[in-house]
Amino acid sequence: MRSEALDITIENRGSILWLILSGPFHIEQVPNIREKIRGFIDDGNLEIVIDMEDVVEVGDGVIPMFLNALNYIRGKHGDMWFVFKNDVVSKAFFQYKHIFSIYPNEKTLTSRGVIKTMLRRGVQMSRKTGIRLSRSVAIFLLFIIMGWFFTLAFIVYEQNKQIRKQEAEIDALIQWKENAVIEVKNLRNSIKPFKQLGLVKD
Amino acid sequence: MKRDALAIIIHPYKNILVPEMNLRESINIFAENILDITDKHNGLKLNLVLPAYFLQYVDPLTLSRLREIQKRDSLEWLSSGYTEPFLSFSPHWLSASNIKFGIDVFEDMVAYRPEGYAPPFSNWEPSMINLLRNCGNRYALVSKSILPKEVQNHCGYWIAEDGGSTISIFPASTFHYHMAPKNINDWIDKQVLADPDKSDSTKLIAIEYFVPLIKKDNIDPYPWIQSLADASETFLLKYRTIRLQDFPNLASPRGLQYIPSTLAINRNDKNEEPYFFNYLHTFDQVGIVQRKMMDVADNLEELNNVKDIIPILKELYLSQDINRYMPAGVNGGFTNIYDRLWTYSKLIGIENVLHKRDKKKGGQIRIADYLRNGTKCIILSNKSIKLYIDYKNGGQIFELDYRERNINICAVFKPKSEGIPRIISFNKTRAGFMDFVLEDNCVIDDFKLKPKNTTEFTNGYFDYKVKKTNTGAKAILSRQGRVTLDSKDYPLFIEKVFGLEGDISSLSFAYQLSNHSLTEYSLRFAIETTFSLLGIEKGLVEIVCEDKRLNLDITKNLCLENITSFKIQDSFMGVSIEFSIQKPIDIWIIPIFDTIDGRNIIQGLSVVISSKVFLGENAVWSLMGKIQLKKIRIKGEIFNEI
Repeated sequence: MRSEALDITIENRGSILWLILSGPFHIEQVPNIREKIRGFIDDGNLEIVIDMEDVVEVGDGVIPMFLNALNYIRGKHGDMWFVFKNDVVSKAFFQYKHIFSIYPNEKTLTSRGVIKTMLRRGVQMSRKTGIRLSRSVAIFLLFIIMGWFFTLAFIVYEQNKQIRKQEAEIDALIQWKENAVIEVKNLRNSIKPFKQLGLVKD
Repeated sequence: MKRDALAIIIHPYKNILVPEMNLRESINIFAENILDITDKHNGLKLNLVLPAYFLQYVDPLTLSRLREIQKRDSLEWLSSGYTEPFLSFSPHWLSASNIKFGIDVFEDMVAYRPEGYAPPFSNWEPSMINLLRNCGNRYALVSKSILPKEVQNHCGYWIAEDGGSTISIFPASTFHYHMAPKNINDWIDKQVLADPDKSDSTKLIAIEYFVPLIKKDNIDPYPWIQSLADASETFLLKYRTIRLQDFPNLASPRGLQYIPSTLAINRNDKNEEPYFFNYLHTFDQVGIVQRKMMDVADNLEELNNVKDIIPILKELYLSQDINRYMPAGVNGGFTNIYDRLWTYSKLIGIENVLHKRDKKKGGQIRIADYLRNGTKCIILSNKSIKLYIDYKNGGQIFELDYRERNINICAVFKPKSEGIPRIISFNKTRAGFMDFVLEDNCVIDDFKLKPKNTTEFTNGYFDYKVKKTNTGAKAILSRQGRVTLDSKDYPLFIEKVFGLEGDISSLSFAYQLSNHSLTEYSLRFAIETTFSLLGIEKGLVEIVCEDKRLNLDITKNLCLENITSFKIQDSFMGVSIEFSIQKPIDIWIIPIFDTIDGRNIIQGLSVVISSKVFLGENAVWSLMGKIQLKKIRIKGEIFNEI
């Protein structure tokens, strides 16, 4: 029966509800799936992942239904993600790929943090360059690099301190000079009448 | 002088489960007997068909002596796989894996990779030709009975083809030990005379002799082999014994033969079954076991880590063995409760291992065509329990696995064979949570007659919804129908809910009966669940009703009135099934007997939760309860046979 061709698996992985679909997703199944997703959201599942990697056909009303569901869950301050990389589903979602959060597999989805992104990047780089480092060497190199950075920062700090001290000295000298100039001027002014009287030679 | 060829194929077999110690003893007795015969007849050449796992039980010294005979080209090994995979019932990849692993075991144990394959019960599938070629097999040995009648008398071999792949087929005359011909010389001469091909080509007479490793009677199967070996020395001038692999050097194939999908039900010549797949599925339970095996195989196929998978695969090979799926009467096969529960136990064990790897928590809901019959069913599972609900057939639970003990407690067999092959049907399957709406004056004896007007809810189509939270999973089934009471029809709406909470081994259920009309009526509502308990036959099942222990007399029905809790404890299987109901109800406990092979065999225990219900206008009646499954101490060991 076309309205029941899809196999559905629903499970929790951590706090996220996974909905794994498999088989042809005909338009006749849209109301059924919509009702299920709404039901899960109303039951308090605000983080839902829809795994469509094993979906072999995507009917016309499927994407609008997911857009609707995404709006609904975001209205409740939740979110929905999609996991697939097969051609059929990718083609169906192509126009909306900037709206939906789509990941090729579970591993990419679950490794969304900074550290996991870095690890993933590290794996990609090692594959690209062919350079492989053991953990101990990597930690040692990390210490060296961190050491360099700390040393550089320390030098900059010390130099900064030195410059500040010199600036302070220069300011003090400038201040003393200005004060001296004023005092000289005052002294000159004070002996000016004596000059005018010829009592003091210029 | 031209001599025709005689291929003697000895095929030890075991249809039933036996303790490993007994298998070890039997296989060694067999090997010793074969060695005695070959020692007395140095020129005799034999062919041995074995599943590879038998070799692992042969004494190393005996095995080395057999290897010596093999090295002097007097013995050829033929394989049926690691076990005896049921090729038509199993996924291709699993059968291929079983056969390849079997060949690898042969290589490890006897330094020989068998080129011949003997499909168990001559279960032939045309598509297996490619599979066998890929596994390294060059020929297959089958019973003559699966060939067309017009070529069965030919004394030669054929080429079978499918999609461009070809393989040699050696048809053999198959005998069980109690039906072997007494005068072998005359029998062989008759076979040669009956051959329609009167040319000069070398003829092949292949005899496949089945030797039971576990004997049911006092007939000794070995003297006939001895007499055949003795006879082979008297007809040396006419016939010489050969290894099957040598025959293609002596003669060309007779021609091409297309063999459709078939099976020889009793392994012998007399009883070939062309529509065996349909025939097997007219039986109860075999389809459910097979679907479970295929589901486990599908999950296993996705695993990439080959190293971890081998111990699990070996368990699956044992579950894939053809003997688990054949009706072998009261002693073995799926018709025997112990054999059936053994197979379930292996499969549930594999599921548990896979479940642990996935680290899932809080339950899972699956809606899939699990029964592969075009209709979906709902599977609710957590770490401890797994239940399978057929919402199109009365919302019955056709399988209830208690995973902590690796048992299916709803695997009761009904021997009546249906005309149409169905995996599940009302008249056949003794499932769980089968609902009956009865007259309000119905008593336990009336219930056993199962009035027909109750089938609307018993096997009707229920609408369903599923709910999933972090901590649990629920399936809500509902149906609007009518009931006929006292020759009048009344509307009735039934809603039932099954729920699992977290990873607890507890199944919660709730029923709500609604009357949306202005007519009042009363009825008796009954929920029947039939449990498959191995301890019943051994007297190790006890009923505990509100802390009072009652002896279960399997010759009588038991009626408990107005109770809210009771337990059924099976200390043979180590499980306690504890019912807690929210309101007082009546419990009917009915032992289920069937007659198989002239014997009265107890199949299980039917537990009926029954209550009088009065539905006024627009009234609602509800019932809530819980079935908790707990482990109790096991008396002895179970499921450690092979």
